[in-house]
Amino acid sequence: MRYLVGCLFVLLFPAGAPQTSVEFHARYGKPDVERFNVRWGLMLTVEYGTDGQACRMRIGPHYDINRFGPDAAAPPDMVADILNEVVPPEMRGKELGPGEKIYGSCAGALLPTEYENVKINPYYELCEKTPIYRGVDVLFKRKECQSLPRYFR
Amino acid sequence: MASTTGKAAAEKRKAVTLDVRTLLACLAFSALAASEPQNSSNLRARYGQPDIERFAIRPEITVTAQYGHDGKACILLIEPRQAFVHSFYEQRQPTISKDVALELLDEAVPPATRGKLLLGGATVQTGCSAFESDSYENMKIGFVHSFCIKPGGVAKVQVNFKRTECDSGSK
Repeated sequence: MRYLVGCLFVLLFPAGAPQTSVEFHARYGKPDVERFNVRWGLMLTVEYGTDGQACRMRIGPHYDINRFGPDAAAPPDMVADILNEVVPPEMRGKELGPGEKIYGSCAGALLPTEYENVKINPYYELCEKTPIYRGVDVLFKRKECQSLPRYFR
Repeated sequence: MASTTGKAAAEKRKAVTLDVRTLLACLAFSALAASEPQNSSNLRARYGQPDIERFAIRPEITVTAQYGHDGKACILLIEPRQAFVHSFYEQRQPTISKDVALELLDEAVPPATRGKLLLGGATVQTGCSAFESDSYENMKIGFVHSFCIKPGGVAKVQVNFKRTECDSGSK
């Protein structure tokens, strides 16, 4: 039994430092953020709440996490296609109309759209020039999402 | 004869009622499932393994791993917990002390795994932040220092592994 536990430990913590997803999970538990490669080079980043359900999502181009953000613009029709797949209209609830301008968002940026259950916010970069469309953020309104760090800093 | 026909009709009605009930239950279940937000299991089932995961390494400090094609980490970011999906307006950046940053770095990449130090202490300063980096045989380690709020704070520790699988970005 001792040998078995020893072997398991060595398998889960080789050389003391986690390297793979399995090793990170074994050491630190479930992740609170994940990013998936959906298609067309577009990624779905999901930030989960304490209940393990999605609280925030971002659909946008791939970028390495040591960079500030993506270089590429996001094709709006492809983003919309993925948005309808991951947050279909029935999940959003009733449309309530345009929301308030997000603090710090670019001049000329489209306003977010408020729904019963979510807020959908197009996001941009390079505000000082013509804003470049990078994709959309989906902010879920469940109470489990209220403990997340603020969306705008 | 009439009783047999009546019985058959009743059974048919019962079967139709059951079918309608099953259909309604399925529709209700689908509507409920569609109105539920997504969780990790159903997103993994649909899109496969994520290329980025973030974990709580301490109560208010996170480590984010970006994996390469070989499934091993290519980039690690250790930083105070903050919104990952956020608007791009950065007003203030939380920091951790240098001692805590070094302790967590040793936990994530023990000195024995780094290889020989090739170039140490390269620093670039801009405004109230500075980037300091050390290049090792197996990885490059960078510290983003922020003096904007208080002196000596580390906003981020960044580890870039030098494996060939990490050259072409993430998986």
